[in-house]
Amino acid sequence: MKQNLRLGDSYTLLIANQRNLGTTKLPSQTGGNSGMEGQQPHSLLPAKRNEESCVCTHAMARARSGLGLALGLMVAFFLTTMCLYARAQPERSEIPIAVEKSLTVSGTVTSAADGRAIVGATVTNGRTRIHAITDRLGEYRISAQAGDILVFSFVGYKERKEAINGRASVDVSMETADNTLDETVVIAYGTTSRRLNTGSVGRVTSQTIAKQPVGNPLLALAGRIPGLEINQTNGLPGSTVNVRIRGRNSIQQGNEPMYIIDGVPWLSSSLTQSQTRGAAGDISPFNSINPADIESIEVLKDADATAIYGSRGANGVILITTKRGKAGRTSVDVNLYTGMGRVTRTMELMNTQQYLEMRREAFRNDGVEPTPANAPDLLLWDTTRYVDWKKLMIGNTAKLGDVQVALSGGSEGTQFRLAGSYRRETTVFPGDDLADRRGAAQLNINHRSADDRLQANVSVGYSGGKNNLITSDLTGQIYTPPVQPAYDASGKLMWSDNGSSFVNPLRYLDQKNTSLTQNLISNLNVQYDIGFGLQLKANTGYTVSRISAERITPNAYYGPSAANRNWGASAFSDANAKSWIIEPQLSYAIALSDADRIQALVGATLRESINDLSAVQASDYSNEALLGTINGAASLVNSASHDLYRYQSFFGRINYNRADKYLLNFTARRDGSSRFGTGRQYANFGAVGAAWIFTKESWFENTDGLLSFGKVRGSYGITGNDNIGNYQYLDTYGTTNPYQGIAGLYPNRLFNADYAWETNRKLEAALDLGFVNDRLLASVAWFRNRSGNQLLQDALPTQVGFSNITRNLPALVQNTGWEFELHTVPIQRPDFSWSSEFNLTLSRNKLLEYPGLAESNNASRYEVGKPLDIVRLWLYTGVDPATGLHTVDMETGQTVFYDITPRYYGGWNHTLTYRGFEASIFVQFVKQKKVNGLATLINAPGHRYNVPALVVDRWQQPGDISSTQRYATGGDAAMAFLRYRASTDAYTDASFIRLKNVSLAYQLTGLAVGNWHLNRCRIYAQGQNLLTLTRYVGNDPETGNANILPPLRMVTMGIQITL
Amino acid sequence: MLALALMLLPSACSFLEIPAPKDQLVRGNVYTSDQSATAVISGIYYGVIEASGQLGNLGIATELSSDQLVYAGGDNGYRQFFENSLDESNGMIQNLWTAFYRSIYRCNAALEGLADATSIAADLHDQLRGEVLAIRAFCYFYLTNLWGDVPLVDGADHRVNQRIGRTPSASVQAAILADLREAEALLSDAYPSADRARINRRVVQALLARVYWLAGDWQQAADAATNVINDPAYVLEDPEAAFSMGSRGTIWQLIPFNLPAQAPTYIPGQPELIPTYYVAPQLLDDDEPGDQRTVVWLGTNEVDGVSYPYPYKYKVASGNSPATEALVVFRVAEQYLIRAEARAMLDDEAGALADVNAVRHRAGLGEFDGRGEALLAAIARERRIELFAEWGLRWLDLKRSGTAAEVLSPLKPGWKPADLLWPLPLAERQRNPNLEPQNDGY
Repeated sequence: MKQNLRLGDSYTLLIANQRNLGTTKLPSQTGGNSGMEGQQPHSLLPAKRNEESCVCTHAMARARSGLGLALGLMVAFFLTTMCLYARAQPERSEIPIAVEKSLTVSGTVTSAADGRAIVGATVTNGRTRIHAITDRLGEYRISAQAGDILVFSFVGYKERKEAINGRASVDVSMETADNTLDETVVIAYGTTSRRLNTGSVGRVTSQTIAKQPVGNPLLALAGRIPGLEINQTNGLPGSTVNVRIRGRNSIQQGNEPMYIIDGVPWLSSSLTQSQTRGAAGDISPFNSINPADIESIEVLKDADATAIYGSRGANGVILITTKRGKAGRTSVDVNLYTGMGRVTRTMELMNTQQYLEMRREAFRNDGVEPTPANAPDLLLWDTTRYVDWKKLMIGNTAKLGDVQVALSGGSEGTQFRLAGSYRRETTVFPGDDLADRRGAAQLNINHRSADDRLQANVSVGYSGGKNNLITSDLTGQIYTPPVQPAYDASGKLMWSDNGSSFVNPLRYLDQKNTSLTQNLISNLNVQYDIGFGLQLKANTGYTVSRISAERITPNAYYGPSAANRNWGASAFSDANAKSWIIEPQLSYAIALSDADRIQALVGATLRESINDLSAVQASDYSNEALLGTINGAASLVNSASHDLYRYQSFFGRINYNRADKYLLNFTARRDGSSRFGTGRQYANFGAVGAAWIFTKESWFENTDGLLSFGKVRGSYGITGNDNIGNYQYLDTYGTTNPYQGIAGLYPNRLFNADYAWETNRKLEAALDLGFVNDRLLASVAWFRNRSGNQLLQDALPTQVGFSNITRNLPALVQNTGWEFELHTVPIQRPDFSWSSEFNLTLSRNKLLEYPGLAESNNASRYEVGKPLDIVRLWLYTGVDPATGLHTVDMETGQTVFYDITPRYYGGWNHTLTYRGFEASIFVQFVKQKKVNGLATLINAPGHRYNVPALVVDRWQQPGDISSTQRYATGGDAAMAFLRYRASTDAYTDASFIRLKNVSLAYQLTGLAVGNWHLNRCRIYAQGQNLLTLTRYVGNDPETGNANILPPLRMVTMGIQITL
Repeated sequence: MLALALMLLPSACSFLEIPAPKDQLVRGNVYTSDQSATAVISGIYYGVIEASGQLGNLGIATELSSDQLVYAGGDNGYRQFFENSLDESNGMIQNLWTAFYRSIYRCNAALEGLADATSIAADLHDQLRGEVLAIRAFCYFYLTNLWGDVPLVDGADHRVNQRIGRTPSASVQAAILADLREAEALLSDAYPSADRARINRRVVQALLARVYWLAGDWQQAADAATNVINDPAYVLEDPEAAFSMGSRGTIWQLIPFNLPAQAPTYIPGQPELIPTYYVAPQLLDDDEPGDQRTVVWLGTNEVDGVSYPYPYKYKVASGNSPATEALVVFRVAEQYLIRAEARAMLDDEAGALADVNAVRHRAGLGEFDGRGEALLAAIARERRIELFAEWGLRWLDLKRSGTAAEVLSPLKPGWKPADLLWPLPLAERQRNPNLEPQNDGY
């Protein structure tokens, strides 16, 4: 209160900014303000008290746990700083306040980049601590004395100090910040800086993206942002990337974050349909987005950042902002690169000799006589043959080519950027024509009216893609026996050897699968400055996404026998997703005093999305040549679906900033979704975030310590999750194909009209510190997300007629974790610099509550107190020296739980520049357990199936002590192997440290070649997934499964020219 | 304050009231007309035939487990059937379980829908209800014979259904009989549609005969079979015609939509290939010279000088649109053999001989005139040759006659009596703890 009074006193010394504060408004404003002041501690405290009481109870309960200790330390730290603060108060009040002889200084603040006025910049008198804010024209007025120094600051700009030196008018031009703390950070419905942000936002910029030769922008995020897990589902171009922000909140599904591109929500899941799914699996919607068109990707993590997205914020939000043009001369940027890729890591498989030995020994062990029927590989095939199926199937070199051309420029009022790109990426399968291709065009136009009142921004991105990778991932085929022939002397596929026939896995190359994608993402954002601090905005967007795909299975796929049969078949699918969004907003910025600023925002969202899917499976063609059309097919099986989703909401945010020192942020949203039944459509969400920049305190500013920036922040709020299908609340009948000409009807889901929103409560506390003029930035965040009222497709025993039902479960899932970030610039000289970023995430997932779990259908899958990602395993007891079989502890049963959530993960990046050279190196690390490669094999060693050579160390005779069971063709050994696959021995360390990215570049500037003036010429080489250190037994520890193509090791070379 | 203001905003906006989905029908509009109620029954039939991939597997699985077929493929799941070494996570077991219960749910939902319906013609209502009851009984017949005690689900409420534990097989049997008796009363002798593709009273009686036969209730079995046999609509067809679309030997068949009935499963892809499922030598031991059935119903591939016969009852391996071959569920020949056995057990040996010889004569075989054990053995032999690769009948024969151990243990090294019941699928037990205990031996 003392402080309030003191600051209140100082108000009388101010000369109010007349443009913003009409005199008639002043009393009410002051009243409102003191109300705010009164409220501030109250509105903060209850929330804080809640947090702390929660935290304390839990800390007590687990006083011995490290987390409790850490929390205790944080609270202690917090209290200590508060004490320091309190002690500092008297000192502060002793500062004499000079009242006499003040003069009024005025001036204009402009941006050095484009000369435009900066609205809302803070001007502080360094001596009196009085503040003023620039108005719509960038003008300010402040009281000062002739010898005072004015400090100018604004988000995204370098702070600037200017001595008055007796002048009455001080105009300044501010430079864009290169300080990480002051870079603009995109947040929901606006921007802020890392310095002033109350929420938790991770950021990756175009510079980082450009260093990685990836086709999918999400892959460029791997390891870069704490709390963000990125997993490539397989190494094929176009494949889906699994993204998880701060762990798994939902028990079964709906863990995908929300994606927003230039203000327009974008598909989070693929439109690929099962009838035409290719080897890459579902085509990622982000495969359509050209990474080079992206300016920045922001990852919103905590309640403060995400609650304004209400029902869709529970799993975090990823904001993608495309590049914009800059005023100035028109520049042309051309970037070309090309590269090659190989599989990162595979297991060595048996050669012919080892394989034959295995097979013969297996039959001996089983006491089974090999016959032409059960052992054609031993008795009929040519056993001197060796076919390296691994090399044949996935041992080729993938080729990559990427071309980017961008044109940008513009005038003061209007800027544009127009970019086009083409990318083609093949894979390691045989055949050069199997590729993922993408052509993309992106146009951004920004306009600002001469009076600066009207602004309009348009962004339109269009891309077309073609992915014709085959239908099956050939990695599963590398286990074909090495004695099984591939091609005959004339180069034709072989289907039999010496009277014994087999399926030639190369046939998958004949089964064509082509997906054509088209995407349009358009956004129009108009804002108008009404005056009085009010701005009216409208954000509108329209997206269309389409995948039309076909799968063609010719007779050849079935081998020579199909020549006179009619087995050729095709499948065609078409998926169309359209959506529009309209978000009118009104924002209000006001300076209640020179120190107190409020920014308020209210808005509404209307959104509709329509998905139409259809597929036709065609067979019985009169002629194989017609397989590409449905016309020649006598038999057609259709399926179609239509989904309409509507979403309506109202949202608001109030941001209070006191002298860039105390920041308070309230957000609220009321959301309605058509995915719920009448009466359950609406729900309320909201959050409060607060930050205290204690280095702004005067007691701190007077100290000349190493610490240059210090912020404590915290947030608490509720978000939701409506990530379920449409119409699930209706009791409906779907249609079947006809039976005797009558199209059938069938109940297509179990009916439940009573499900409601899943709610996610997020709590976060963080400390951000900057040392040595912010050259070392450290940040520690602790979070706890609790997801309750779990809404899911709950698995049921199929005796109910379905395998699941949509319903809420009274379960509570908790994710807690620590995130650490360290950004340092050890060396910063004009010709040499070294910077590094390090991040580390430790997280724990836990099922806190699940009433009735023991009686429920999930009894065997989850356990209260354990993470969701657990596997229930047999306790492995070794290979029985007598029988040679894997054994498990049958008495304890399948009761050992292993946690397969990553224990911790992170990345470490270094960037070095020396004159024109730039080198950066990025290392990613993950600590985790996964099922090993042996346990993902389809068959146990001994079958007509090749296996990794490491099993040669097997049991051979009674008394042998081995870790690998005997070779066998079936019987007890098959059962023992099945148990082994679900035993503690099958789950082993899959941690890895990966040299994820190396980028080397040399840049020449100011070159002139003839009449051509090159602004810049950059030559570079990049490598992705170059080296992996791991003890994992299997292929790649990221993809795990031995039947899935591992990520590729890519090396590229490129040149970038800017004219 | 802002939050409060937002909450006060009108929430009952019509924007969120989206129209009913275009591609689905709300339940309230389903049981309102003859036409759409009939469509529900079509949906049930389609469901059964759609599951015929699985139901076809039922035939393969049980034939492999018996002494009828040899497995020459590389799939672990099939191999487990062949070696009688089933594992509770065997995918085929799960698929079959799911297929039966999915159909049962559709039946239960239809029964509830029909019970509430007020605007459906009374005759049609009876007809539809009879068909649904019969299909439900058909599903339970297989469930209880393959797994033993299975959950008896007779309503559509999942909250009740998900907790139902294993019902004693005697109760399941009683429920099957109750359904069939009611269906028998509700249905007429006329088929509701062409091609004997939907259920009439005779289908119900054929299933009743099979149920009583399996239970050893000889009089009831003989009576039920007689009802079918005496109907002039049913004639023992020559082997050539027995599985054709218009066969008069067929009591019920399922017509697939644009797909072959079952031929692609058994007919090998290439003439020089060992068939994936080839006929076991033991089956051919029962073959008599001149039997037209083994001539017409078996195909043969020669590999490396060895003959591998394979089931060839169905011959249309691709296409089948419009359908020229359907999946036959009940044939009158089986009814003759059921009645023959029942009569023999009831000491009507003359009647039994007449039935056996009726089947033999139309297969091109001579008169059989054995008595006592020889007669029973002849009936068993006829069943084997007549009904191989059809709906698991050999497996039921082995179980019922108690000869499984004697027949199978020399053939299957790991054979044990507990193999006669399949394990409950692992996932089902995990999702419903009341399904404990697992069958013995798993």
